Order: sequence, then structure tokens, then C-alpha cells
Amino acid sequence: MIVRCKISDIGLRGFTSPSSKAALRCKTKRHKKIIKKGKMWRRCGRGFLATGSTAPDAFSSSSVVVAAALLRLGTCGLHHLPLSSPPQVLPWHHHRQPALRPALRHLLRLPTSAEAPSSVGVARLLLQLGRPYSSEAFPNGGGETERRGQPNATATDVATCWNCGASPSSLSTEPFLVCGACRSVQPVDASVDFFQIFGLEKMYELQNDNLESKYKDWQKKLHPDLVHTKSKQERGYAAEQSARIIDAYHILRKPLSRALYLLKLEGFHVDEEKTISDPELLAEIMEIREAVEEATDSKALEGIKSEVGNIVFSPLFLQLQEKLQNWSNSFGKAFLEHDFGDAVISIQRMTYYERAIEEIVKKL
Amino acid sequence: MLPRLVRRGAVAAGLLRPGSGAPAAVGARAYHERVVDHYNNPRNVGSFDKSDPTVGTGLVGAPACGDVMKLQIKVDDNTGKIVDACFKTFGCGSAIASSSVATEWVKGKQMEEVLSIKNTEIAKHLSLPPVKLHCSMLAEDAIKAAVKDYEIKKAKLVASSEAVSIEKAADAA
Repeated sequence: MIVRCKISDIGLRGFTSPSSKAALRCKTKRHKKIIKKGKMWRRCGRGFLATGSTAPDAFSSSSVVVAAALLRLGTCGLHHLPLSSPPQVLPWHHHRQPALRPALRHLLRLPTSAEAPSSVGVARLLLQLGRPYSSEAFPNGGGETERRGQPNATATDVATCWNCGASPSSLSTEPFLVCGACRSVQPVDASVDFFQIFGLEKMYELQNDNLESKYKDWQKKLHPDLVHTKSKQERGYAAEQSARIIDAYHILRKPLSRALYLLKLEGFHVDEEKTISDPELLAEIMEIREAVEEATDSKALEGIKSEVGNIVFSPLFLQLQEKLQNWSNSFGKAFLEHDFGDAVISIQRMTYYERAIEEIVKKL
Repeated sequence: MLPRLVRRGAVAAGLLRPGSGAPAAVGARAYHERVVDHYNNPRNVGSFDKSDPTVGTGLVGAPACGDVMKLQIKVDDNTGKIVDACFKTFGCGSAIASSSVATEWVKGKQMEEVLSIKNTEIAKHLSLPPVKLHCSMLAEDAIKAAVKDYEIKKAKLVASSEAVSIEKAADAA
């Protein structure tokens, strides 16, 4: 008895008894554990064997099982398709039309017909199952075909995955950094700003404290260490995306850099060459910095320290922190009111106080 | 080089912050030796008395990096020549070196002459990398501010002394 694949109708050469479990599956690219013989088997596509019966019209329970399995795989198969490797096109046998068993077709509610379906028909069927196929396999066309190897931007300007062609679900509010369907990392899209990456509104105050957890979540999906087995292109994407996320995390974490970034998004770039000569501010800063220098040099800190718990802070330090906080609040307010002149001034002051605090911390 | 950052007992000259100029250990991206020299052997660090009428004080800051620079010149009233200068800078090594060079160049020159010192000359002298050019800009602005401050003081003095002499004349009359 020749065992035949129920879908592709290819006989399994060399095996005459489907007794072993290994004989139950047709060798496709994905089903690794198989029957070794026969290139024909390899190129079969998604064929499944059922035990025993080879009668074409058999409504055997096994064929039901097979069909059910196929359906299940078809609809959710996208999640398990390792499409990241360069597509080895599985050419349908051009010399042999794949025949769908009537039982299967019935289950799939296709019109039963006596003739074997054409490749176009099979393609349509597979489309219904949700499994995309490359256009090379179906030169006659047949629905959408994915474009492999290029970043996608359709006419409607919705990005699609370069790998599987799926577009991001419209329900998802997250930026499209990783394809939900095939889990491949997308190239960096510079128009997605850091706030969008972390799902935050473009505001100065952070709504919640879960920057770190979001950061770790993203890194779990697109860290370069996770894509060692994938293509060079994807590894490059992962490296860039990961670096971007790291930058985003560090910039959003600190208030001063966050403020600067917010202004940058609004179009205000910091002019490095700009000098100011506001006598009051500069005199104050000079005094503070001199005080810090002298205090540590002469070890006069003992006289001006105050204890807070186990950590000793100098009153100057606390004062500076308070001032920094005040200017930080003022920036927040100015930004909300779109008063960018004030915002810039607040940032300048914050910068100065931050530097002074840094100096103190260094000396401590 | 850089681990010798905190110099106890040294005259206040600010800390050497690498910024984008890499540490001196790295070959091509090191601080220029002149910059390091100005940092290790600070010249003209100090302060003059602000209220002294012969002293002009220039106080400028670069808000982008949080630097402050104070440059003071002592001018001889009669000749208009700058006899002494000192500075105090809090910022990166390039800023400190720029202001140090500025004080050196300013000494012994006329006030008008000093106004023509350009930041590009300072930068060239110290071989500042492009990212640190704003430090030399700061030094040039400090010089100009110091001269301006002296002029303003002088003008005020003249104005007040005129007022005094007018009063005296009025009293006498």
C-alpha cells in the first residue's frame, strides 16, 4: 500500500506502511521530523498524511482531524511562520496539480468540484487561510503578495512589515517597532518620537513611573541579542532600534534632558554659541560655585552641614535642589502655556543649578 | 591626566570636564598640550576688587553648557593700557584655558587693541576642536564685557565728578 498525502496527493516513496508516527506528516519546510526520502516530499508544501485510509472519498475521522489541524494552522499559523529567513520559494509542482481532497474541501466549505483546483485556486484557498505566498509560486497572481526584502510604504502611507507584509493592527496604540504578526524588527522610523515610544503624552511631567518597565518590555522584543539567528538586515534594524530606545529612556528619565527634548520637538534648538551676561544670575552662580570650592577645600562643611537621616546634606545643597525644583515647575507651566521664551529661560537656569549640584555631589 | 581632577588647595579654577573632548589618554582626541598646561599651571587666576574704579569686570555665561566666566582687567587711567588681568572660570577645560589665554594676551595692550582679539585666534592657539569653539567665543565676549564695564564705570565717574564740581561751583557762587 502506498501511503499518500491527503492534500498534495503525493505518494510517499519507500514507505509502505504508515504505522510509525513519522510517516504521518508530509515533509514540508516546517515539519522537521520527517520522512527523509524523496525530494518530492520536501517540495510538497503543506501536505498532511492521515493514517491508514487512502481512499479518496473517505470521510474518515482522521481526515477531519487533519483538516481541523490545517485550519487551525492556517488561521493562526502566521505566528509560527519563521519567515525571517530568505524565502526559499516552495514551488508548487508545476507538473502536478495539487489536489484537494473533497473531504477537506467540504470542511473548508469550498465548492466541491470534480476538477483539481488550479494553482490560482489553491492560492486563493491559502489566502483564506491567511497564509501569504510569494508571487513566484503563483505567477498567475492570486490576491495580495508580499514584497520581500523592502521596507513597505503603501500609497496610503501606512507602514507595513517588510517581512510578512502585515500592517500594524489599528487597535494597537504602540508604535510600529516590531511586527505583531511575524515578530520581526522594523527599521527605525524617525518620525516616531521618544514620547510615542513610551506611550506618553508630550508633556513635561511624567504621568506615571513605569518608564523602566516599558523600557525593559521593548528591549525584550528587539534587543540585538535576540536576533542572532536572523538576517543581517534584521540584525541591523534591531541594533538601531535598541540604541534609539536606550537614548529615549535616558533622555526622558532626567527632567532637564526631557525639557530640552520637548523644546527640540517644538523646533527650538539650543544655540551653543550663545552667551548671556545677565549679571544677577551669573553673580549668583559664581557665588555658589565659589562657595562649593571653598567649602570642600577648607573642610568647612562640618560647620554648615545638617543631617537628614544617615545622609548628610549641606543646606546649600538643599537650597539648590529647591531652586532647581522651582525652575522645573516654572518650565512645566511655561511649556503648557506655550510660552517658549520663559521656557528657554527656565531651562537655562535649570542647567546652571544642575551643574552646581553636580559639583557638590562630585566633591562629597 | 584626568584623574587628577580634584586638586585640593589649588586656586579655584573649576573642574576639568571632558565634555566631548575625550580624555587625554586617547591619542588623536586628547586635549591639546597647551590646554593641559593652562589647566595644570593656572596663570592669572584670582579676583580684583570690584568696586575699584580702575577695574573692569566682565561676567559672561554659556547657558547651553552651564559655564560661567569672570574676567577682570586693571586699567591705567592715564594711558588706557591694561596693566593686569585675572580670571575665574567654572566650566570645562577648554573654557578655563580660553580665559587663561585671554588674560595673558590682554596684559600690556591698549583697550581698543584688545577689542580686536578674535575667538578664532584663541581657538587656533589652543587647537580647540569644533565642538569647543563656543568656549573661545565665551572668552572673547568676556574681554569685551570687561572693557565695556570699565568704560561704563569711567563714564559714571566722570559724570559724577562733573556733577560734584557743578555743585561746588553752585555753592561757591
